[in-house]
Amino acid sequence: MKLIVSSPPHWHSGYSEKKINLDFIIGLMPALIHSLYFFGMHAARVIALCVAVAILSEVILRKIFKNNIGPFNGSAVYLGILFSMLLPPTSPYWLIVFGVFLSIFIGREIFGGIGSNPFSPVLVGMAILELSWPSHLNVNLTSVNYNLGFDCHSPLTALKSAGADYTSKFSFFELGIGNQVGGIGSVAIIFLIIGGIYLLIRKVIRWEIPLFFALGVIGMSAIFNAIDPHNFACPWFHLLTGNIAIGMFFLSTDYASSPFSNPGKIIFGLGCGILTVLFRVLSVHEDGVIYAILIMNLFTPMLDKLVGRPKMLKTAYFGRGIK
Amino acid sequence: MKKEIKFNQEYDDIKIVELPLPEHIFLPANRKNNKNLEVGDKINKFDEVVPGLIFPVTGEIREFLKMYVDGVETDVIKIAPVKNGGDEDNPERNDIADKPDDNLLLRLKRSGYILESIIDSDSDIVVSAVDTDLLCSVSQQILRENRKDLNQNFELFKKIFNREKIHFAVPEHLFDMVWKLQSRGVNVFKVKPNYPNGIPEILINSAIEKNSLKSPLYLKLEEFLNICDAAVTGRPNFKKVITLTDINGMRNINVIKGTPLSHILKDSDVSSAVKVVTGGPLRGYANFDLDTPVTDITDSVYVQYEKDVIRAVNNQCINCGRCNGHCPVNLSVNLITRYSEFSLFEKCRDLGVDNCIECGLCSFYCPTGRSLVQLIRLAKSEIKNLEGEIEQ
Repeated sequence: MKLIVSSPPHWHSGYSEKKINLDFIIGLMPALIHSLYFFGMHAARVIALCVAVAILSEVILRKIFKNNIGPFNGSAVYLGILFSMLLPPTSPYWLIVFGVFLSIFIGREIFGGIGSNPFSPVLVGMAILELSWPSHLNVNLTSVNYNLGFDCHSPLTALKSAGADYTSKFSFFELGIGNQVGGIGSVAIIFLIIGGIYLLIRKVIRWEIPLFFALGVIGMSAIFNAIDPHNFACPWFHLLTGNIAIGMFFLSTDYASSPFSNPGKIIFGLGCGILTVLFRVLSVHEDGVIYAILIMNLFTPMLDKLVGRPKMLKTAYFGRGIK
Repeated sequence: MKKEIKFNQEYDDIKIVELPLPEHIFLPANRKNNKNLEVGDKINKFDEVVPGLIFPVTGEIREFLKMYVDGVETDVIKIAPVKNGGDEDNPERNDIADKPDDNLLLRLKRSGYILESIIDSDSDIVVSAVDTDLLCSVSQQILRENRKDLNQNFELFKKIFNREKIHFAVPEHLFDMVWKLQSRGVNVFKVKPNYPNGIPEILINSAIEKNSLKSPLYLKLEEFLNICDAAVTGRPNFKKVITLTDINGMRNINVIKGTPLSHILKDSDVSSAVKVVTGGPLRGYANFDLDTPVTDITDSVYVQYEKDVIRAVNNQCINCGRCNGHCPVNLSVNLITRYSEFSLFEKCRDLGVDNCIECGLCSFYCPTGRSLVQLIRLAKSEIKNLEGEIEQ
């Protein structure tokens, strides 16, 4: 009779990496459905191409790098869908292929695959695209040929060029339900929040980063708003525009590039929020979420040192019968 | 196993059943100290042929061999017990004086307990009726079945150890049975019967927080009763209660120490079993040999079948941080195990890997199924080797 030997524990929770990625994809589903409803086949094209390229490049790159550690578990599918959420519906196919390939290649596989990436892979690809082909990602230009039934003027462009007074024409309700131009999924604020709450309930992500991200945005923009309410928008306007919702729940909570210590998570979230507002207010960029999270990713190894000291639980036994 | 009950250690009243004598008994004993014994020697129960070696049964020595007992290579004596051989005898019961005296120490020593240093010290003693691992209801069941004698045993124990107060940890759901002890100089405190609250380190730590104890010592309830018994009779207790879990559910059985696992598993269908774990599913030891004898630390035997077994995989860490979140001693498990994987053991030491109590929760929750406990053990042993080299 053959017996298996192994180190303890002999039980497992059954919650695998595959299920994590599935949960993430389910979390993105409301926003995905919203994008399909608005842009139809145009959105479907972007999403399908992103997912296909992500899976293909992961397979090819793992072959080339001889990285056979870990099975294929849906992380490429999730990355593809998340990437597509940030793109406008008119993105040309070469832009998508290039962006997704770079996300997987420079964002992840070059560092040794899942879990080893110092930056959120999606953001690496997006940052490269945004710096290289800004016109293809300009949401005002790309939505010219659509009749979406609402004002196709990006609220963030309006804020940048005309100041906070001009933004009063956008109602918070319209912004919240996704009636604004932007990436195909990243504008569906309420749907992303629903997905994010699902992730929080399933304990896929921890609450610290999203909450303190939001607090950072609110705090920083409240300070600017207090200084000059005519020029700087109020906190709620900031929260309901651009990539903040998707950044809060999906981009900044990437496992490998965010800190695991609880104080680290709080500082990370706050930093993301504060930097986002600083980018929006002070830089030439309209939306700074991508750069803010990338910069905070740099601090992750440092923030991980904030983890508390291990507890000393030594005890003495007597008698027999204890290991 | 249903997921939601996995960490609950509240088990039903499962009566302890006596198991018949096995065909062979394996008695761990260093061969150096019993050179005068030979194969074929007849031995009697409670005979002390060699000082410090008392035989648990009447029978005949069959073989001297080496065996892995609790993962350590040990000399063992294989004994074939005689059925119905001088089993029932009533040992002489001695009175315990108010202060520990030489007779008492001698009786304890004869039973294998050398406790002078503890009797003389003033550290607090914590008796625990909380089981250390899941699928084990030994302590609970002993508490249920001995609750009437507990009072006099605690009186006795206080005399043996010359203490005014003994601390007694009981699982919450059994508190009603023993709360009366509080008026007799026993500090009874409740512990939530959830893993890992019963692990000695964690239990003692929570006891210190609750009752401000002075360098407390941990003692299992079963061992507490054994010591009381040995102090009165001068004989060790060879019986051991074990919780057996297999395809037929949980059972509590009473066997003689040294009984091979194959005898315990006689009634269960082991032909399709692939793993026999002693000591619980989260901290236990997977046996490779069914001749392995039951020892003092074998609280439970858990038989796993093909569908429950987790195969070891060498997946990459995805840095999700679940291990850190569940670690009861607040270790950075993800960093430690990665350093250990790449042989950077000194960095593991700097992160405090020695504080790990090997509760197994990190591996249990790891979504990639990494054997984190194994990597931590590797780091611990390598650090020990390194320190040994430095000393030399």
